[in-house]
Amino acid sequence: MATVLGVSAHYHDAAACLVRDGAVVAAVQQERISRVKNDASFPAAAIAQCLRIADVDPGAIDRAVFYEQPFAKLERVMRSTLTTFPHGLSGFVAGMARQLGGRVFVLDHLREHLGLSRDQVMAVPHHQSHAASAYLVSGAEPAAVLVVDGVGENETTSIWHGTGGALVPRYTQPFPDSLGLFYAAITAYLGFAVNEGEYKVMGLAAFGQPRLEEEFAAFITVHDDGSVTLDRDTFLHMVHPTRAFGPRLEQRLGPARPFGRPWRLFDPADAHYADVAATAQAVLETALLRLARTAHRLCGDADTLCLAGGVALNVRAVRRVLDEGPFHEVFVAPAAGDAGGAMGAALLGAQDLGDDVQRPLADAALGAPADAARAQAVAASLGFAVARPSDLLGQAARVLDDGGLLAVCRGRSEWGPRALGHRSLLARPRPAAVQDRINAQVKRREPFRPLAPVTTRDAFDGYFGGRCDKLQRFMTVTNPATAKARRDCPAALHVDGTARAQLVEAASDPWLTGLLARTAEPVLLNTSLNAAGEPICDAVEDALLFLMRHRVAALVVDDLWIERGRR
Amino acid sequence: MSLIFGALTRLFAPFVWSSPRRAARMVHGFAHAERASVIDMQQAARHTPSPARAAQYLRHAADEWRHAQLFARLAHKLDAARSGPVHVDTEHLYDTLGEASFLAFVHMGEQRGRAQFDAHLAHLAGRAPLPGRPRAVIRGVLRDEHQHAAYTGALLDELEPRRGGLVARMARRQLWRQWLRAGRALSSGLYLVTGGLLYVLCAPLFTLLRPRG
Amino acid sequence: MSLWRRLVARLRTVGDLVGFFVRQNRLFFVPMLLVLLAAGVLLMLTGGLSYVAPFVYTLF
Repeated sequence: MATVLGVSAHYHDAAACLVRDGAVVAAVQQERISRVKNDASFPAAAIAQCLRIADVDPGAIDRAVFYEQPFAKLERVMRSTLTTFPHGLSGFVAGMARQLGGRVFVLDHLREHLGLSRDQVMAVPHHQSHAASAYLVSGAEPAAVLVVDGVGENETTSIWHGTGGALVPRYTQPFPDSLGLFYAAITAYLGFAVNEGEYKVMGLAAFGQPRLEEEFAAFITVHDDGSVTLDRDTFLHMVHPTRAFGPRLEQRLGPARPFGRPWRLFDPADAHYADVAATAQAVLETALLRLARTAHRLCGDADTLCLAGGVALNVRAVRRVLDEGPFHEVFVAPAAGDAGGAMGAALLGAQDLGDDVQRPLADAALGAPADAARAQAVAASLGFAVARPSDLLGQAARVLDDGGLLAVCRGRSEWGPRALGHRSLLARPRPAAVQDRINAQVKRREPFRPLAPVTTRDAFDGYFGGRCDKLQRFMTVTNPATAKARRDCPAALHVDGTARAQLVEAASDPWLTGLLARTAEPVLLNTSLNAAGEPICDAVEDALLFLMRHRVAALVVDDLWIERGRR
Repeated sequence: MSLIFGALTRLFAPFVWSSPRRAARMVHGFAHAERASVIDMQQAARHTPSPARAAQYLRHAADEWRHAQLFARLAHKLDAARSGPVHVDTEHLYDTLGEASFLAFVHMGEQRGRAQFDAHLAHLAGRAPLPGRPRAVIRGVLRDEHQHAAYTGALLDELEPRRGGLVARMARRQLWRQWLRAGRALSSGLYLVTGGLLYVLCAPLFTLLRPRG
Repeated sequence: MSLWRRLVARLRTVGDLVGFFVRQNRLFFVPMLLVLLAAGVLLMLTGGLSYVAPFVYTLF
């Protein structure tokens, strides 16, 4: 019966997760509080938030667990830069400054911050944290666990056999051959920010054709077991701190696309970049599918594949693994990236202290609850109209049916990169122009970025094909759209006729299912509540700021209805 | 202190505005500072116990967000290549300083900003128009800066009627930050030389560790 | 926590780090590490990390 804190930090997506008596009670990403997108700094605010949510005093923490081993990481940085003389010079100087300037002392920092003793703080391997964050909350037993990301300490891909709550390593691919870093390099080549723009590459891929296989074959080889070999002269992630690719990639694929240039997808130049994205996506899907087959071979008794690591956020690839892979079921945790490592670390720590930590994650609402009283007071000070309608769902449905955008900040905030109806922007998903309107006016982002639909279990099969299982609860897979979906919710579909649909059930979210029962169709467009370049809103103040800056009909905070104009 | 900043800006303005690239770099820096300020004000809105002050901080954040967008667009118009991502960071000023000191810090920052923008406007007056109409952009921002300085000053009076000591402390803090900045340049130079030398001296030996095949 | 106790904790960590490299049979890394740690003290005190490594990929 222990209270364990898991922490991820210093690379990207810093987060904290609190596990009490084996159950996850709170999980918060630092960016939601600091408001710095992908904030990697020490997550003091996220830790404080977790403790506040669970009403736990720092002194009551039995153990704090960091999601990776700092010394092993340092060793890899030294080894990879020193053995690539002279190219590794800038990587060595910058990397060592970061490592010795703080990262190797992260356990000291944790101890001092929480007032814990030396033996109360430990570190677990990066990929094991990822694997635990998926397997231990999947409800699957036994399971094969596939972790694919940029790089942990030294591993870029790993396969684990999860059985009886334990994770047994079966396979690893070491740095620098990395599927995640390959995709990151293509992300940078296409003019997007690494660790942020990978979603954009996936969205862009649907506009292109994977016709550059020959060019790609010159710098990436996907082997039968799913492992990859990268050309060392094309990719620079082994040696350079800020550049992902070298001139050789541009020799093969043409000049890199400048950052920030507006997209014109019917322009031949941008059509070429869409083809690059499509080919990269095809390579990634092929590799992931082969890795899934390898995992099946190595973990023969497992029917379920648990996926983790940043690559598991690629919902198109997950669909292919589900459809064409050897597993009956696939599970992806809501926070598959580095933030999820905090949860895995906490669960491993609790398990080490003897707690039974294997239990399915029913809900991703693990953050702080919305404070309606505070929202009411601040909104009144802003001169906004605040009401507590007797039929809030009916009012919300009418606004949505009339084509209005509705901002929602209710209950606890979500864990992971998806807004699942607690910190969401909702809209009627037709006509198709709604997508352009939201992309251009609210999100201020590329026109090819898809938005997602949310619907109920009863309505799901009418709108979407493919299996409907656990993956849709956390929006971690795409489903093909039916003719009805093309008619009723074109704004929530991608150009390839698929959608990253969310399935919502009355037991877990009566408010949203209630709303879907009142709108003209039982499907809504659901996108995250955030402005361009900002993290998803967390506190009511963030949601109010969103309302101030965007043309939305109203903001719902629990049972409050807030409008900008004074009533 | 704002007088010093104004004087320094007047001194350097002709140099900065003589090249669209340099001007774009500076304006991109403004966009960065405004984005950071959005975060500071948002954090303050979240933490202040007073809903009324939270509302004022949110209004301030909304203004800074608009300024950041204006400056980012202006930087891009001055130099199309100047469109890299704006990496924002936060010093968690509210948490570190507490509300009264935070307000004093912001108030002084607004005064400094006003002095700097005034100096830029004075330099640009009567000169050939530049792409993106920087004068119009700066003039618009300056109006908000006046309002921000006024409301933070009023709030400061409310929270800390004897604000002289607080303002002096924040002025010292700002000087210390400038001093540290100079120290940073020195220490980072030292580190770069040490790290580079070590690498050049030792790395050839480590190439022996390179995996074969 | 007092500065002295923090310093002792950091020194213990440096000791652990050296032990780690010794166990990994990477003795030749140790002198280099110690020189860089010494050079890094000033960097840490002045907060100069962002100057040396303004934006570093997550793998460094």
